[in-house]
Amino acid sequence: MISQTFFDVAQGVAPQDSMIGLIVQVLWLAFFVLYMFYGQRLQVKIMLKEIEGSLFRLKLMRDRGREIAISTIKKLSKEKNDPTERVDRVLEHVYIPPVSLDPSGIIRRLEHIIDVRDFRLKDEVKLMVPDVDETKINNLANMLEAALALNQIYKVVRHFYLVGKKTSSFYVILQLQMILPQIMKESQAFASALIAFTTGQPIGDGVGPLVAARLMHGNKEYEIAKDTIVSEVPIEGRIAYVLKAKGPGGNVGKPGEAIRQLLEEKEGRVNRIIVIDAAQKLEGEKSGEVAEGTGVAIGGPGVDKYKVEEVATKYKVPLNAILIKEGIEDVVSVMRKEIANSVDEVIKRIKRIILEMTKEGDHVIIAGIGNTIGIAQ
Amino acid sequence: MESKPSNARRMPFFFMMIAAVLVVLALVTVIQVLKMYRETGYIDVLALTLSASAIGFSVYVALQMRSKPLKLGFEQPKVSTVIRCSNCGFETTRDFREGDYVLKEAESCPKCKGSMFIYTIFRESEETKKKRG
Repeated sequence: MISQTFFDVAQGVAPQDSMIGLIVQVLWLAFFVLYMFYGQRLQVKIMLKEIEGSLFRLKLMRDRGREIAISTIKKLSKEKNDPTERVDRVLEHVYIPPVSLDPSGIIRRLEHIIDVRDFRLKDEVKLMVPDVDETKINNLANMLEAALALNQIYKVVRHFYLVGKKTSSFYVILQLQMILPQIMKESQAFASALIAFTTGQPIGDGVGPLVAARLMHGNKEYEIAKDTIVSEVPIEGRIAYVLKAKGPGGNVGKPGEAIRQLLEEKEGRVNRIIVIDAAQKLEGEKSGEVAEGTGVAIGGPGVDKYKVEEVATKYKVPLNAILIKEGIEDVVSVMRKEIANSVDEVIKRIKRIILEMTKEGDHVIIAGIGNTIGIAQ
Repeated sequence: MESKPSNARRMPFFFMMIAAVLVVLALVTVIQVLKMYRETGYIDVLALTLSASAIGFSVYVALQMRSKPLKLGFEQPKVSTVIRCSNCGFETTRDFREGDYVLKEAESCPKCKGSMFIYTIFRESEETKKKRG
């Protein structure tokens, strides 16, 4: 009975001697022959279909991001000029990194290009909405950057999709399909970022500035480098120079330059540098987990990291890092409760490091790294 | 930049076709099994189970595709603002209002009339909400 049933199933679920059984058998045979010759092509078609679905979502994201950017600027503009053309031009803006063939002086050149790009973006915003304050200008510039990122992602994915389709190259399509989940995750993060930047809410990346803001609350601060402020805070009998980007507008400031200036001013008489930043968590780790390390925890293109490493090495100042673990989707979206709650733990660790590794009267630099949107000082 | 108005939702035609073909094949098999049972008295339990599973799977896929909303990430999450008194430590939480930022001065404390400020701003993640049920 059982062997008969298996035989029936193997024969195409129908008895062999019936007409339908014969048709099913022929269909099976045809399927095997076709699969032998066209299997990979079929797989390519299925993968292209999947990519097409994701590409459609990316296009929706790109269009929605653009719409939000235009409507937000229109709402803030008193002159009632249509910003569409200018926004479209900004979204097509291309950043060209400096030549690395001769690496000598590349950091200086990279910094210059990044500065020019930032000024250009803020100038564009000022031209569209001349009557808003600096905070709003910074937030709008960040919002346009998120919309720009969505546009670029869509265009790059579309490029590889079309190349794969045109050449029917299994390997081009396979590579694109493999990284697509990561791309979709990043795009969703940029979409959430756009909303956060529009409303001026703190983002996950702002946990460093949030720690610094809590430490410097109630103390006088001054601007030490462009968009970067520092405050002298007494902690456990030591003098801490707490620095962060100038808020509450969307800003990362120049922490590298600020630390360099502080160390040069003090002629290296600083006993420790503690850098606090958000770090990419590994799968399985919890958002808001705190870890400690050695070195300069500053992300981005590397200009600030380089400057701190240079000056710390020059004066032989030990470097500590405190990292707050976050998923890629949390970094640029509105700050999660778990991340906001980790601030107390970070402050506890800062105090422990200061007590264990410095003496009373010593000088310490504490730098809160990240985008300070929605966080003042 | 080219921009055409795009539909909010697109029919997943390819998957619907696969589901439809699966249902048709399953129904044909069921008819065959029933016919064979009438003629010989033998019921092919395995074929019947496979057909029922195929129909069930197709219906499930169709329902999943219908009920799944297209989430792009632009949805405004629920964001809360925590206000704390710098004098007595009294804390209150309310919904985020545009213009709120951390360390912004808020209304005076209802307990000690001391000055209050925005202590933190956060969103509750989907995972946390799910855990709470």
